Amino acid sequence: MSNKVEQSNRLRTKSSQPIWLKLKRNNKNQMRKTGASTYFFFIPAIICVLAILVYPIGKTLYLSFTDSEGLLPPVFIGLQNYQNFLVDPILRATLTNVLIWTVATLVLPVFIGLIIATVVSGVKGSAIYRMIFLLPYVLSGVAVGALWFNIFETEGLLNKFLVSIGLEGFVNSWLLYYPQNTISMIIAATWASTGLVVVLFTVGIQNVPLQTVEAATIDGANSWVLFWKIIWPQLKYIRAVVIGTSLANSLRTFDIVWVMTGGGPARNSETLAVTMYREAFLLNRYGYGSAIAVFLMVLVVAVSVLSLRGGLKKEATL
Amino acid sequence: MKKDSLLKHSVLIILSLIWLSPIYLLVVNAFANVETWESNFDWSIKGWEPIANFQQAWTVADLAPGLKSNFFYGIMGAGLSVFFASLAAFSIVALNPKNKSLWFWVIYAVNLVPYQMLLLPLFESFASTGLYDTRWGLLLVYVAIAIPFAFFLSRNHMLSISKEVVEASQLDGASKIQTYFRIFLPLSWSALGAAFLFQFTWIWNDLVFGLTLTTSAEIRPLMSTIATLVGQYQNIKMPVVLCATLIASIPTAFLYIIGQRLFVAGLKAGS
Repeated sequence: MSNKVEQSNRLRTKSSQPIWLKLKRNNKNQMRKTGASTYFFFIPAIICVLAILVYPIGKTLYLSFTDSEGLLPPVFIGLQNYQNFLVDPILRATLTNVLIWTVATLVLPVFIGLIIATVVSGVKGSAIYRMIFLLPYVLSGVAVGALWFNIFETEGLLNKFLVSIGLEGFVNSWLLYYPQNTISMIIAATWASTGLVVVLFTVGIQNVPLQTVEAATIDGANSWVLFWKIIWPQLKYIRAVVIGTSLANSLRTFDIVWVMTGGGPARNSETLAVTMYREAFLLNRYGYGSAIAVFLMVLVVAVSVLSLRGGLKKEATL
Repeated sequence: MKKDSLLKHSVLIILSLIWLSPIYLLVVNAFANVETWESNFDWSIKGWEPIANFQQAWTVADLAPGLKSNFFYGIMGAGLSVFFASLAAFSIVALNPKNKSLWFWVIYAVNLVPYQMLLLPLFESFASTGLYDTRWGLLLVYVAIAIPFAFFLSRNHMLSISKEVVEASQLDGASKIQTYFRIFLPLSWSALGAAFLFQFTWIWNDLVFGLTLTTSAEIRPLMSTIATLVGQYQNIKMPVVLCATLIASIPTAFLYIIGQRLFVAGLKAGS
């Protein structure tokens, strides 16, 4: 489908790279003077970050090796919490849910967001369309949770709608059974988070040099070819950013589950963050909760480092 | 070409309708008549009392102090975090420090920590240092958590600033601080504005830190105030709670409408 465009000389010779990329390449020999004052600029940011982070992370790590339950002084128990977590029956449910959330977040908001951003670019009234998709992002999590709870509830709006159009057969207790409760919440989360993805991809698409697009159009490329051969490769960097942040957010999914099902019924819609919160704050098992928190953090950091590396490489070539 | 854009518009209109229907439900149920309200949401318009419900939300929920605190947290929190983040980004991009990626990850790592994990230790340390239930304490948390993403955005934008400009300014004898204030700050204005908008919205809508680290009405941010309302379900009816959340969303919605242009333009060069 694409050899016509691929073989086109026009494309090869005309700037296949945006100007700003080239500029960066040319700047290998920038100033190398690094005095102490260079580090001075980091101080405010580093102080704030460390003040808030160092103690909490240290404390959580320490607690994860103890049997702390709040009242008695914690006793060091080594890796016991981690071992317990590995054989905890909840581990399977919670990890499965996290996996569903992660995969679904990559498929739904990222994919739908990319489609909307692509279709919206260059269309009349694009600002209005973008505004519509961004509306849910402006709403607070409290409003989004209350709204979608009332939609998916057994007596809720979705079931009323299905009955009114004669689809009684599809009426379901959306939030009461596994796995449709997780899927329902993923739909709610998709509604809330797609707008931001649209904005980020729109930005990426607007960065594609106009001459390249024009050249391809003159060569007779249709929208499909234009997207895959011209736009998609140019989105490489922003894609890494969107995927990296979406992955980190989906692994940490908490608010929407907490508001809509509380992780239930019978804990079957819990995610890792919910399991951790329940153990630490509802059951007061701080030691065990901390171990789950450490596990979650290692997972998020590993996934983020891997997925962001592609996007950050640009800096290494500077 | 004509056919193409017709197809595009139909796709967009269908998706827009899907996206707008929950908003419709939110508005219809928020403005429903409180007196005749039953316990469930409805598709149809059951009374239209926007003004009465807004008034009730405002007085019953006592939103004024929370709203005032939110402007403080939002403006100061987003402002300081974007300023601090831009200083760090300037250093990493223009001053070529050693161990660039180490600095990057030290600052960016906060963005990866599950927030729930911070709650208990923060609560403890706040209680023991007297920061608990203070404006400045909560502000510090917001600034620290907002820094990484602001840093990420401003760094990306600053990478696009031509190094020749920087060298020229240094040849002219400008110091590093002057280079930051005279060249980088003005040139990254729009990206920093976009970062401000994102972080303002995040801080504005925060719930967990407000609930955990504050208790008194004057200090507590808006969403925590509203969330406590939801707990008292029986006394305060759902339309009033929904109206309270709508009031709470007005400032951010307004910011996005006036800021959308800035926000797309600002991220543009930075991607």
